[in-house]
Amino acid sequence: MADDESEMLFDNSCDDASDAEEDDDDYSEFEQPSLAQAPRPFRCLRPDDLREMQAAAVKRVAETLCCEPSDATVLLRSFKWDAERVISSYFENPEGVLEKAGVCGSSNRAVIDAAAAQPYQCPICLEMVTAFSALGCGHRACTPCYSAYVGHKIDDEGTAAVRARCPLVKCRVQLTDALVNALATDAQRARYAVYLERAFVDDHPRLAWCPAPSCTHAILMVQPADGAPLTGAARVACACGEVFCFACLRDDHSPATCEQLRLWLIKCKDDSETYNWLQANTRACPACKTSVEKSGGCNHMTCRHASCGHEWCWVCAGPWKEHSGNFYTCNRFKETDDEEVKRKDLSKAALERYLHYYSRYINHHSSLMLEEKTRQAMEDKIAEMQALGSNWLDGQYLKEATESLIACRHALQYTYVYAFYLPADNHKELFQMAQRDLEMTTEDLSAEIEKPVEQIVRLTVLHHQQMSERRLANLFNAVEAHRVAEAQAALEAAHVPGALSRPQSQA
Amino acid sequence: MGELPRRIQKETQRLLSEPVAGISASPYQDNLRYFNVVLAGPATSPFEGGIFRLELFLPEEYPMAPPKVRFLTKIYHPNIDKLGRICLDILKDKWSPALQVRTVLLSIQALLSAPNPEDPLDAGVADHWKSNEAAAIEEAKRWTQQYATGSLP
Repeated sequence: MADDESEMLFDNSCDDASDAEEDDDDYSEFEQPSLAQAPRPFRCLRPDDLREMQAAAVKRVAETLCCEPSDATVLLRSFKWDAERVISSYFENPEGVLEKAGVCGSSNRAVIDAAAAQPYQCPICLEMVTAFSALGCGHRACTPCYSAYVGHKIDDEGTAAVRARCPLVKCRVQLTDALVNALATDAQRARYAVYLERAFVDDHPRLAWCPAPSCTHAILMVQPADGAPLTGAARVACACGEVFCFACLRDDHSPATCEQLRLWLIKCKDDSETYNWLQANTRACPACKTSVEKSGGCNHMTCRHASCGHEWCWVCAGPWKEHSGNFYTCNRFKETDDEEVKRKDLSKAALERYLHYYSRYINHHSSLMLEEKTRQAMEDKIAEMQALGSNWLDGQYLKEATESLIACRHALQYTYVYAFYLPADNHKELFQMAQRDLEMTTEDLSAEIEKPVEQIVRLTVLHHQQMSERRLANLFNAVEAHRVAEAQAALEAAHVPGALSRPQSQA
Repeated sequence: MGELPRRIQKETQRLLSEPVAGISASPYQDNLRYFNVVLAGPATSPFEGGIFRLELFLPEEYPMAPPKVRFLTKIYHPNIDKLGRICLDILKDKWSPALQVRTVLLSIQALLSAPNPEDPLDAGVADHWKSNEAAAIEEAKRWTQQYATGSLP
């Protein structure tokens, strides 16, 4: 399969697959792969490449099993497009595989618009007819009814149409694309082709659509040499420029994991920490319901909200005038005291911790939002430099520096997500040092290239840029080393012999 | 809405001329796609002796799309909710255009004989069915006596 893929792929600059990694099939079972997760090789496929890749898989199965291409397609769909698995499973248990996939054996062909010798009752329109169409299962329906059925599946059921079955009750045989294409209208055929392509990418575990709006490319992950399943985040770049995580399809979020990002986004969204803090530290004014925080002093509260001015007791929330100046006798005070204080402190500390990470995360995030503006500003600066006498090529280093700056900010943003979920230990200390270093040089770089044109010193920019890039690499290395060490420790703790050959599942 | 398709005409004729035991389905005169259904609770089920009213509607896409069916009589059943909606695979993704009104109603009758609390529509009733089946059946009988009164036309 790897060989088929490599023929039809177009070159793209983001493709960092090395030749050694392309040899999928050529690996020894006893070789222990390194635990380190090298950047996964991937390729960007255009719609034509996808069609060719699909056609190659269909051809391989159809030729090996001597079956119709449309049956091969159905088989492949039920095996997530793993041609080798279709073939080996078929040779093990042909009937089982055919039945599971909903395919009829090659002796039973589909019939399209034939005439029956004897009139029969069409099970759909209930008329006596002779014309019929049927899949390999032999369940007949008159051709107009069959066409209406196929058309209904395409028009009304969306992508699910690719899994439509024989119209007869409880028959599991799948419609084949040959039958669909023979019976559908031109418009339906076109839509069906789109559904087939969409389903191909959706079903294939190593393919994902580029999430950029209106981009029609898909990313193919090259099969890992140890055959391990794809797990964890993987940064991929589409030919359209979109950089994203293959596993969760969100923005590239390294060094944070997909799960950390998911939790973080939920946390940011429902702002639950703020809510917790308000719950623990404030009380609603009994008169106007405004949240009131007791910042110290006595329990005699006077609401400052607009025109409220209500006076009440913090402890019992009753009107102050009933306390007649002697609030120490308010009986609920002692009971809750210790617990309450502890709860408030914990809650406040948690909120402060969250806000610490959040404010830094959002700071880099909003700087990134200005990405396009920054790029444009650099273009303007280069133009300005040209006007001052240097040539266009000389100014290009500024562009590269800007891209480095953006990459650093992008990673820094997610370092705060990563750090938020780290337990306080040595690794966190080390990580935060690397993070601080990166942040410092990133700010230096940013400051340097934002200077007025005549003050920018090329060597200084290059210096800061190189430092930033190196520190970014250091940070990622530290994260990776820690991940490997943790995986190793988990393995040793588990004492599973041979578990090393499946490092991904343990990580 | 255009002329009534021949398939619906044929089905209606057969429902009226060869009715199924314990099931009556007749279209309203002003809308021939809308059926008044009366169903007898199956013997040896908690619904035995009950007479249940349902409404059945054949949408424009019928028979490519399934009919819409709903209980009008209150019923205590894990696969039927308070609004009378029915959780039955052939009314959803397992629909086949070769099914008919007749077969759908037979399937609903069979569902009354064999409640499936593992695939519930009404979680409360289903929990009751799973935790204390005897008590749930008693409750279903009580509801049948209280609400499912009447007679087959």
